[in-house]
Amino acid sequence: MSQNLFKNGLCSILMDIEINEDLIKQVARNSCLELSKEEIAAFVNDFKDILQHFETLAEAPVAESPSFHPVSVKDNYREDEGGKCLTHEEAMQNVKEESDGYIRGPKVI
Amino acid sequence: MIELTNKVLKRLKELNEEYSFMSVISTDLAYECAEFATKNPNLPLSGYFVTIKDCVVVKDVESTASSRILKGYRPVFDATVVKKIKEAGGIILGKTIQDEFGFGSFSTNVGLDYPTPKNPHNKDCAAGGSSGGSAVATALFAKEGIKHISIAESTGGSIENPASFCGVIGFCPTYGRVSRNGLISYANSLDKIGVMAPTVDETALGVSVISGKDIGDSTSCDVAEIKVEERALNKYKVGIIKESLTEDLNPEVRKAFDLVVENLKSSGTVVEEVSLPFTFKYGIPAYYILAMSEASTNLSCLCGLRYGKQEVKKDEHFSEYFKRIRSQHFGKEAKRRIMLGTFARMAGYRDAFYIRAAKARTSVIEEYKKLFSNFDVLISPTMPFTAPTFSDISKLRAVDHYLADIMTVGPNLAGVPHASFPIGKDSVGMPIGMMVIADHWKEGVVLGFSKHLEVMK
Repeated sequence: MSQNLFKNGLCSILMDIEINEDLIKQVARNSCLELSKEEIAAFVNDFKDILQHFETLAEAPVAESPSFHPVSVKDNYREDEGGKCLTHEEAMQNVKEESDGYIRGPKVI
Repeated sequence: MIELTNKVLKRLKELNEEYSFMSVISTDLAYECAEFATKNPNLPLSGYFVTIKDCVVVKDVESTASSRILKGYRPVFDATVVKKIKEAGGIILGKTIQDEFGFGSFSTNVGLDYPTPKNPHNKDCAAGGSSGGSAVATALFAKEGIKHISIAESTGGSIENPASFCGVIGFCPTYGRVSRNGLISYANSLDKIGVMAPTVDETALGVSVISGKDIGDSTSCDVAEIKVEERALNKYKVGIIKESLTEDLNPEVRKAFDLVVENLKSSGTVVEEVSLPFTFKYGIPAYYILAMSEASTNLSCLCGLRYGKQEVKKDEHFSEYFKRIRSQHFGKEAKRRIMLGTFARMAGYRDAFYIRAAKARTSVIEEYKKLFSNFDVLISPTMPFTAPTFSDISKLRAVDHYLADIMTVGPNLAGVPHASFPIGKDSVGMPIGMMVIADHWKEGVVLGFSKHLEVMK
């Protein structure tokens, strides 16, 4: 990754990043994905290519405040009143693995 | 109405064989809606057939966002927009194919096992994406003379792009105008449900039906209803976005766009060149960082439990199971966006990527707001080129796909209402679209101005 990413000092934390197979494996673990050798190799190239383009953002004279929505979204919660919600039967309608009315998942221990 | 529905369903099946644009044809629901419309002939959508993008859930109709990982999922509720369409008398025909979860610009990133929609003007060309199926349906039904609108969705250009490539109107409202309740999310802070239709009046009708504050979506806003602007064409002040007219622009797209500008000028409309330098330089990285970061969190719930693919094996540990299901059933681009989004949110990188991109979004919004203090509408070509062939698309790198969104990410980041309006065709008959953009909540201005374009055409 070129040094452009770090022009304004905000991205200095990324200075040591090297896009290699180990990084891709770490990201895959965090993403809960298992990648083949071919996919890992392809992602190394993709990451280099795409992040090189994204790094232009580091030089951008961005505003002080972030916008987490494009329009102002105020606290918009409904009154805390009981209402109609899904029945147990409806909530389970798409579940294939069921036991005594509960979802039966894979083993945990 | 039942007889007409029968004929339309029959024709839809034939067209779908040829153009592959429907993921599900909901025959039973169509008849149910037709019976309701027959009994209630004066409702706003009585007599209209409606197709729904696959990411918008319809009760008891398989809804997968065209992803194999959700195969078999039959929602137990209607999205708010679907409920409104049913109440308005619309006859729902089924779900349209899209890029998996909206991850694409050409509908070539459909999920595993899904066919790729074909452009109605040339079957060797892409329909655009991600709402490709909706655009194909709208173009084909218009050609057949069947009254129809399609419900589409845009995160970074997924309504405007396919509308441009297929020669129909694609309308994206202000963020918060239409409830997202029941939308299989791509990126919450960017997703907007909109409409595709053959005429401005039908577009306005569709958007009016689906709009409104909804308790099911805390980001939906309580704002005045849409009223189509009725002012004369020469009372609009129009800004041409100069960064959209680069040397890379397809010359035939440029020619069609320039012709519209000449017509506007000769009608006495004030037309001036304006600039969005920040948006065009930094919009794409800001958009993709935000969109991928949000997508990677949204898709974390898809792990082979509760709905969609469920293949629990005895003695398989849950972490292995979740990995296996996700790895087997997400498509290539979905994996890429999950990976990049996860990377951008990883400990230590969040400020450098996500927060910085959110600050860039503020700058993009400010840039549009400044122009809208002096102009009613901004215009640009919708896409820099006409629909490419599948062969050409296969040669593109991932980043080339992202760069194709150069015109459309701006209004999507800013959350302002905009539409792609068809303005002509190139020398081989492929449609060309022009984008009309207005300030937040001024959907009526986009529609009113587009009505003049319709007359001009």
